[in-house]
Amino acid sequence: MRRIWRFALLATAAIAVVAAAACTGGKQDENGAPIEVVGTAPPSELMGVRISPPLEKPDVVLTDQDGRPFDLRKETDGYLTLLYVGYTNCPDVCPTHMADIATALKQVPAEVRERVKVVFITSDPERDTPEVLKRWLGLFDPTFIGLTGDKETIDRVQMALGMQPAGKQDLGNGQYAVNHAAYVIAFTPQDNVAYTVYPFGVTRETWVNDITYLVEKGVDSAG
Amino acid sequence: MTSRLVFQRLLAPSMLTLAALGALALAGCGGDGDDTSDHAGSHETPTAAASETQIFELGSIRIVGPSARANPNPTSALYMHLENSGSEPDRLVQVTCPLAGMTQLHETVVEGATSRMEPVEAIELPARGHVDLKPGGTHVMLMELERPLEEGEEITCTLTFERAGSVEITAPVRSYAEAAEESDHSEH
Repeated sequence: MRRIWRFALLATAAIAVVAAAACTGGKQDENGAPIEVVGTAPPSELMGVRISPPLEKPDVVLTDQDGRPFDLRKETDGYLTLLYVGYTNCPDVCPTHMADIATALKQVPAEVRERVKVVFITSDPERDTPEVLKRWLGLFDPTFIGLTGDKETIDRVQMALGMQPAGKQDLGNGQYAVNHAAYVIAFTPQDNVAYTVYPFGVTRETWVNDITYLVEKGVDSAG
Repeated sequence: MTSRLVFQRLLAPSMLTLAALGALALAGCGGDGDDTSDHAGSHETPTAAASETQIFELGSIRIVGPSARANPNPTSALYMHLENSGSEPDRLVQVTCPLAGMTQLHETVVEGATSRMEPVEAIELPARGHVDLKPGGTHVMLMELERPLEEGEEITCTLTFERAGSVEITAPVRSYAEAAEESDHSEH
C-alpha cells in the first residue's frame, strides 16, 4: 500500500506540473491568481541497491556512436553517469533498462536532467558498430551515448565493474546471445564513484528519486 | 476451434489514478477561458481507448495481451500472459512466426553482476494457474526477422502447447518506450 501511495503522490505531482505547464503562457486561474508550478518534494533517501566497496569509474577510451574517441572519465566528469553494459540484439532486458531510464529522465526537473549522462557500452562490439548503436539508442533518447571498442578493452571494462567478460552463447544458425550487466551503475557527479546500482525491475519512482537525489546531494561516502 | 476476442484494455489502478488526475487537470484549465468544448463531458483518456488487449482461446487456455517490441535490429521479443483454467498442466513448447526465421523460448538468468538469456525447452503452464512472459523473465525471442518490426504493426504467430495443440495469434508491435511508460514494474 505504501508504495502505491508514494506512486500516487509522485503521479499527482507530475500531473500538477504538466497541468500547470499546459495552463501557463501568461494565463491565470479563475480567481486571477498566477498558477504555481508544483514540483516533487525533495527526495529524502536513496532507494537503489548499495554496493560495497564503491566502484571507480573505469579509466578507458572507447569509440562513441558518431565514431569519435570517448574518454569516459574526462567526458562524464561532474555528471551523474548512468552506465550500462549490454548489446543491441538483446531483445528484453537491455532495451527495457534504457526505456525505463529514458522515461524517468522525462520526469525529473530540467536542471537535474542536464546534469545526467547515460552511457551504454556494448558487450557485442562485433555487431554493435557506432551506426548500429546510434540507431538503437535513438529509440530511447538521442542524447544517450553508445560506446564500442575492441573486445579486449571491453573485457577489461567489464572486469573492472565486477562483471564476467562477455562470452558468446551459440543459439544456432549463426545467431548468438551475449552476457551483459545485471544492473545499471550510477556514478555520482560529485566524486565520479558509484555507491548504488539499479537491478532490472526497479520502479520509475526509484529512478526519479535517486536521479534527483544523486544530482542534488550525491552520496556521503561515510554513509 | 479457436476464437478471438477483443476487449478494451482493463485499466490498472495506477492508470485509473492518472486518468482521474488527467481529467482534473483538464478541468483546472477549463476555467481560464480556453476553448474546452472538445474535452467537455469526456471521461475517456485517448490512450486508454486506443489500446486494446487481445485475448485468444484454445480449449482451457487463454492467451492474453500478446505484444512484440519494435527494434531496428532483426530481433525482437514477444510477451504475453497465459492462463490455464483446466485441471491438467500444459506446456508451451513452440512458437513460430512467419516473419521470423528463428524463434526460441528464453529466460533471463542473473549471476552476480552479470545477466544473460538461456534457451528453455518449454514454458510450464500449471493446472488452474497462469504464467507471465514479461520483460526480465521469460520471453519468446524472435530472430532472423525478414525486416525490423515497426511500432503499430501487427505480427502473426502460432503457439503450440503440448496438450492443447496449436493456436494462431496476432500481436501488436509496441515501442519499448510506450511499454515502459505504462509499466512501473510494481509487481516485481
